[in-house]
Amino acid sequence: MKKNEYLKKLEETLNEARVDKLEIKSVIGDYNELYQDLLDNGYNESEIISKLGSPKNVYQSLKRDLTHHFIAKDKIVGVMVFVSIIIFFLIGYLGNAWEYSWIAMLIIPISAIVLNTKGRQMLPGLMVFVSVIIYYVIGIRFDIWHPTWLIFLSIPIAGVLSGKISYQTIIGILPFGLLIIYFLIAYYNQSFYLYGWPIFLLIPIISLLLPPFKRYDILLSLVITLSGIIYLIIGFNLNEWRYSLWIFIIPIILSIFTGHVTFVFDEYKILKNKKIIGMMIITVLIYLIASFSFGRWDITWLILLFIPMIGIYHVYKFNYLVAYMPFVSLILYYIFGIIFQDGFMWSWLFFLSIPIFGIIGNHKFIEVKKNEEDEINEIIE
Amino acid sequence: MKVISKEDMYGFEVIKTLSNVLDINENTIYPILRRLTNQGIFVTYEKESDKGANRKYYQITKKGLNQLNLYLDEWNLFIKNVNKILGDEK
Repeated sequence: MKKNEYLKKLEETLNEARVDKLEIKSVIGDYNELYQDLLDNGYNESEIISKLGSPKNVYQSLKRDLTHHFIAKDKIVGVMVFVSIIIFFLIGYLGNAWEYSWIAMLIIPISAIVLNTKGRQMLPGLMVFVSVIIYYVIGIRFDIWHPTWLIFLSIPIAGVLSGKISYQTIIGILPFGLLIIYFLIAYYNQSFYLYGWPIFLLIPIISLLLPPFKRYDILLSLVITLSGIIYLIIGFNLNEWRYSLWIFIIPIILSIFTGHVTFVFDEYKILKNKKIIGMMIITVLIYLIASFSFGRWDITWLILLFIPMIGIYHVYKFNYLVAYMPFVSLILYYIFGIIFQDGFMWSWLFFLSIPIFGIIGNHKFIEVKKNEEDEINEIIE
Repeated sequence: MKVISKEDMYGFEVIKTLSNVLDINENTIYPILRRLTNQGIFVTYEKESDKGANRKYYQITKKGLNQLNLYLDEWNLFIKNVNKILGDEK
């Protein structure tokens, strides 16, 4: 990091922390001088940064003596509490619309987000509340909860858009965008649930066509596209969707040969554990017996989802419940969808258990490095 | 405080002087200089360096000198007592 870049980052850090403008100017002036003196004394850029500390560390060590301006923005958010209460009662009493008036309370977190974040950084936070409002209003007013729930997929999209925009942004948005398209089309044409899923093939196809380019990218994307087309042709013409799936074995094998798909084989030594292997074999046997006995191959495949769960249990036991949730929610989603009429309309809600368990089960503590401020205080005292 | 009481110094000069005898880094000394300036122990002024750019010099104030003498008295008494204990042990 060059001097100007370092000073710019330091200035940004101080600005973000809402340090008084005059003090920022003074600190930047001092660090400009220190940096230059170290340069003049023969230190290189990386040595200087390790001596001065990162911009964040500099701020941490100075913050006790700096003046911060929190007051104005906090006051606005404070006023918003009263504003939202007034709007809440106005809508409730005058409009007799108590079912909507609670939305006024969302003004408080929305104003806090708008005032405390800059530019695209406010997108994910804002989208949470915007999605809730749209979902609720459309749901209550028109009773269209499905597919209105798709609005929640705008939250991860906003999350991706709030970061640095690059080709990765397209790849990040693609799964959510396609999910929205898939469910919207399937809402109006139910059979699209069955034959429409190949639109998700666009994720690997587009990813392969974006930089960084690797050898065989174009070939592989072409083979995936052709497999999708052949799958649909066989499916539509012969009405045989199950066996036409075998066509995808070609791009899978090709991607293994080209190195696009690699396997980290038995990283956790699962296959050396006889008990685990035994359980996995039993699962496959149960799957086969159940499938042949009842002929419900459309449901019995869910039994196979216990195999990765057994592997997870071997490594993590029940310490990270969130690791099981994609499988558990998929099983519940599918069973619920099949058993109940219009079940798929509601059973997607099971997937919400993944982020819920992610939040509840996050026991990892962040180790915070001892603040340099303590060191300074010790020396002064 | 002691170092600056002898002569006015700019930031890097203080750091260089202290780091010759103490294992201490730049990012520890600068905040101390800033804090002591805020407390009125030092005042700063700018002076042109031999390279043309302005440098911020730290100068000890009367309050700073009084404080320094107070700290020195406390320190000398502390050292005296420590030496007394160590001497008795011998």
